Order: sequence, then structure tokens, then C-alpha cells
Amino acid sequence: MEQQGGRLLAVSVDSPTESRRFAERLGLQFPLLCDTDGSVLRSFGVVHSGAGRGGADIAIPANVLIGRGGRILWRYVPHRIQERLDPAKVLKAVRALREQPDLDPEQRP
Amino acid sequence: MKCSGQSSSSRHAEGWAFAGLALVFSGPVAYLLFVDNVTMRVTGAPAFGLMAAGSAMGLLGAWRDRRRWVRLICVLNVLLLVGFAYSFIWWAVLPKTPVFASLQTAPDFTLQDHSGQWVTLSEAWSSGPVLLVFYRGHW
Repeated sequence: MEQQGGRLLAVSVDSPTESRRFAERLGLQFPLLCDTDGSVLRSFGVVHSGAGRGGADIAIPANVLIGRGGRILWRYVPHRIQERLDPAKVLKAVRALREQPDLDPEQRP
Repeated sequence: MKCSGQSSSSRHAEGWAFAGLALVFSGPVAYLLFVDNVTMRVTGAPAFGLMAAGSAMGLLGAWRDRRRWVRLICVLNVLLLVGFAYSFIWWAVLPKTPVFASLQTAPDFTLQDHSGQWVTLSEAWSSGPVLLVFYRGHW
């Protein structure tokens, strides 16, 4: 992803301590951002109300590719918790952006 | 196979019921063991196959053996299958996200990351494409 000039940021409601433990356990090299009050989740519309520990609100595992000016170029949201994004599809989208930086968001690869 | 002269009430088929129960339990276990396989994770077909076979064996056992506790095991087999199917098909459904679907521009934010650094989204997107990955956490 970084080789293609992209950057990956992960977001959850976990605290910095919990996120650090998670990053260490899985050996993650990218930043895990801590949206502890859920305000970012709400602004993106990806809240799963009451699905966390003790009925807390947690994130729906969505992905979004953001380009210049905050323009949303590509998005993915699963319908069931078993569904996962194919990483190849994301890399393809990022690669296409590098070749055509002004790619129209409607022309998704 | 029926043996002539043997009354159906003396036929004991608890083996079928227990074997069926074991198969039904093996379904969710197999699911967890092989969850990284795409077919298993998204369709659950092998796990459902095991549970269906287990339920069928339980039903066969209950048909051959008229004892009450054997029939209870048969009911348990079928209930476990129904419970797993419910979890897999309905409980796993995520809420719809119309707001997310209609976003044109990403809302900016500044959050702290796991190493304590502050990250601002607009700074990140100014230097290249940013893939934002929301994850459930709370593990």
C-alpha cells in the first residue's frame, strides 16, 4: 500500500492502551486511531449501536479510500460480520489513483 | 434393518443419537477452526453439512429407539442446528449504513493513535490517498 503512495489508518473505539496491545499482538505497522467517544464513527455513519462490550457502540468494519481534498474515491461496507474485503481490490484502486490522480469517483476500477 | 421377531420398543439406538450429537457439535468447531477459508466463512457450508448429518442421525436414532431421553437428544440436535443457522444468517447481519453510502467528502478529524501521536486526516490526505479502515475492536 505504501509502495503505491497510499497510507493506511485504522480506526476503532478502543483506547490507546488497548490499541497498543492489539498492534503488538498482531505486529501491525500502521497507526491505530482511537475514536474513544465514537464521534468519528458517527460522522462517517459507521456505528454499530450496542454491539460492543457492555452494550457499547463500536464500528461497522467499513473501509473508505480518500483522495485529494477529502474526496471519497471508493468505499466498502460488509453486510454480515463474516464478510471481509479482498486486499487485492484495494491495492488495485490505489494503483489506479497513482496513474490517474484525477480519477472520477464514479469510474471505480 | 428390522429383524423379524424383535419388537421396536426393545431396539436401542442411542448410539445414533450420541453420534449425531457429536457431529452437530463438530459443526461450529469446524467453522471456528477453518474460518479463514472463504467458503467456510461466508457460506458455512461444511459446518452446516456436519450439523445436518448430525441432525439426521439423531432423527434416525429417535425413530428406531422410542425411549424418551433418546428423543430429547434428537430434539437437542435439531435445536443446535437451528441456533447455529440463526447466528450465522440473522444475528450476523450488520446495520445498513445510508449515511456512509452517501458521503462525498470525508469529514476531517484529529485522533490520537496507539503510540500517543496525534493524526489529522486532512494532513494525511494532502500527501496521498488514505485508506481508512474501521474495525470493531472490543476483543
